[in-house]
Amino acid sequence: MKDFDDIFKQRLEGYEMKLPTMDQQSFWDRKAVRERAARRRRNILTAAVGLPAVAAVLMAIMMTINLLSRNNATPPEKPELTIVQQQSDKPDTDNTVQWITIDIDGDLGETMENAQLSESPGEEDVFMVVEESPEFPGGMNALQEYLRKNMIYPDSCRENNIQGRVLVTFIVEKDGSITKPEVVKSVHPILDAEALRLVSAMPKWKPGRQNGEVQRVKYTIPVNFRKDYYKKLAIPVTDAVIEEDIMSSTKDKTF
Amino acid sequence: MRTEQELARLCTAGDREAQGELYAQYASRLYALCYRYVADREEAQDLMHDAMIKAMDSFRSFSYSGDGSLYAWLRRLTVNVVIDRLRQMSRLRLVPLDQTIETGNTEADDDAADDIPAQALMDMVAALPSVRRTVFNMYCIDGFSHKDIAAAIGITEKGSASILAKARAQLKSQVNDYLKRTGR
Repeated sequence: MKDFDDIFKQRLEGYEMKLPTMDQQSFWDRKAVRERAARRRRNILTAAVGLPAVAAVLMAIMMTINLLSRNNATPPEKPELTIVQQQSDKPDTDNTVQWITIDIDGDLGETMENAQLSESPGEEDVFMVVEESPEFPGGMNALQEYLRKNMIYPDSCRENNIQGRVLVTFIVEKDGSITKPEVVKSVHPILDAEALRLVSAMPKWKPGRQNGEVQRVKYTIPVNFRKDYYKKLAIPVTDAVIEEDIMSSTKDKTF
Repeated sequence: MRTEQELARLCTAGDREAQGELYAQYASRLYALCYRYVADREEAQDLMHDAMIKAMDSFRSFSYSGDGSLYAWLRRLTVNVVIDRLRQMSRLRLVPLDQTIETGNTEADDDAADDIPAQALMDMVAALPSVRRTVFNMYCIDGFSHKDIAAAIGITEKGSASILAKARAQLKSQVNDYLKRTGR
């Protein structure tokens, strides 16, 4: 037994594999992105410490302005601290502020990859939250229907029990077209690619509006891959092997 | 070439050149280590990058204790990164694609003719189902105990041992096949 293990141990312990070309470059790029994200988080944290007091005052001012002259309030010109108000779209609660997002430089709540987006010069502002959200033609149900109808669930994934929810974020442009689709929560490269394909191929959306004007809005949708929705197959051999291993070894079947 | 101690010291100070040297020296070894666990080149590259970034950020916790201690430290850190990822995936109740067995470039090692090339051994390990592969790697190559394994991947010690036995059996038949195929 020991000898057998040693064949593998001796040969594989310090084994080197040839890396893809450009590997170093992609590593430094990635490191740089991480460092930028870490810096950003630190900045936001620092801001957040001093923020509550400022925010409370600002909120009070905004509420007053809101009450006094609901429509006369002009938005401040590119302020450092902008307050984006989200109002409910239900008519009966029209006058209540549902919730308020405080946005420093438009960064808060953005992931590191998305943050790059607003950094690039010449790029117009992308809204995270607007009064009137963008909408898939026909609404959420139509969106689900679209995804269900057009989804191609790769056999290799079904056979290997790969399923789950891929979160894809994208921008709904002013003309309703979809740009910059990105996977924010990945399940498996194959399913990620299919989710991106589905999102990119969507028909034009109804664009989001802020103060009555169409705006570019960032939107995230989940794309669910559930193999049970599709025709059931007999459990393939690879799964049987793995499941047998797991069953014979788990305390609580969570693995 | 700098000594390990110096390299570690410079990396801690954030010296770009030293970090580049560290990368040049260890990347392909750690890449192979990751591949051994995940059997997928892209994912292995990803994990190796994560581990390298983590290493460069946490050199403070490295203390030099003789030649090779730098690699030992990097290796441990990398295995931890890999196990974390595997655990994450299992929490999502996912079983990674096991069918993507890459044949790779099996350039024959010319040192000992009756030895199986390392890449061929690598392919055999890669061909194991993921749970068996993880247990075999941790126990037989990276020197973890069944107790460690049980804690790391959330199975019982007994389960770990029985999975190991199955992994060994599968590898043994693959080794025999290989020897038969190559006429040895």
